[in-house]
Amino acid sequence: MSEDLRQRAITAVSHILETMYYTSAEPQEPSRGPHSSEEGKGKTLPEGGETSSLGNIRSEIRVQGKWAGQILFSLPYPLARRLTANFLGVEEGDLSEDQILDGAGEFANMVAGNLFSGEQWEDSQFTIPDVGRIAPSDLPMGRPESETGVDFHVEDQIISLKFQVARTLRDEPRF
Amino acid sequence: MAYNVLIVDDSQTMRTVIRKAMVLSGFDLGECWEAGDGQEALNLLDRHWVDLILTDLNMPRMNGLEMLNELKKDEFHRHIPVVLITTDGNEKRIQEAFALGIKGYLQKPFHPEAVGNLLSKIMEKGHE
Repeated sequence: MSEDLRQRAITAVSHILETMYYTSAEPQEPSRGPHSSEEGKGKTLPEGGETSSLGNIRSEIRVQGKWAGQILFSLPYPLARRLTANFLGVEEGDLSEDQILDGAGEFANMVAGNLFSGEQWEDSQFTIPDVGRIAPSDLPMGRPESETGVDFHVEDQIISLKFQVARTLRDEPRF
Repeated sequence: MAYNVLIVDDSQTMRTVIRKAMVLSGFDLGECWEAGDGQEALNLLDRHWVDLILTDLNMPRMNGLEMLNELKKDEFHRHIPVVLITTDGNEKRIQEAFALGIKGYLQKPFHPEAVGNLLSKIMEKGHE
């Protein structure tokens, strides 16, 4: 299931970025696990591998129904601003904070819609994206080993996507 | 003939993109109204003449399917063609929307020309 979702995520993100944002994405293995250096012992790599002094934008969509869980997106604020400018066909400087947040939410929404389309997901619904800005000091460090995700290199920055979904007890599992 | 269009989507950014896609694709756009959810759309319909409605499904307050249900009961507006433009690729919900009378469906992401082609086809059909 995880690998299937991961592959679908790669296809969905690439397709969406190429079709509506006029850019491309290079998938890579997500950063996780502790640093090998003594200094970094006990810590994990920063989410998405790098951070911006302007912080990140985080979008969360919850899945409800026969499948339940969540999808989380994190991307540096400057990348969200650039993608929204591409999306709207305007200059970055002309965008408001609300437009950038809305643009990031819509990106997450499109990925979720494409990721979870198909018969298997028919009885599941998604919530409207919950989008917010995270200060650099509040960025989580790495991801737990139990989470599945993909990082994407986009315009020299990184979009981090992670998801946790499991079948609920409303129906017999099909594994 | 220019068509007055109502775009219903909770994302203001997406409403702008849809509006631009219509213009870029050469669709003959007259007045263009925007609503952030189904209820706001129904309120707008009471105040403006609309030839075509483009709606999302997943919205707060009143979602796309609820709005279609309301439209179906409204004898003044039930004949306005509705096109679904949504991220939702769920076949069951799409079929439900067709059963409620939508004339077409486009999944996001889309190329601007796809919007123009679909809308022109639907509106031309309506005038045959």
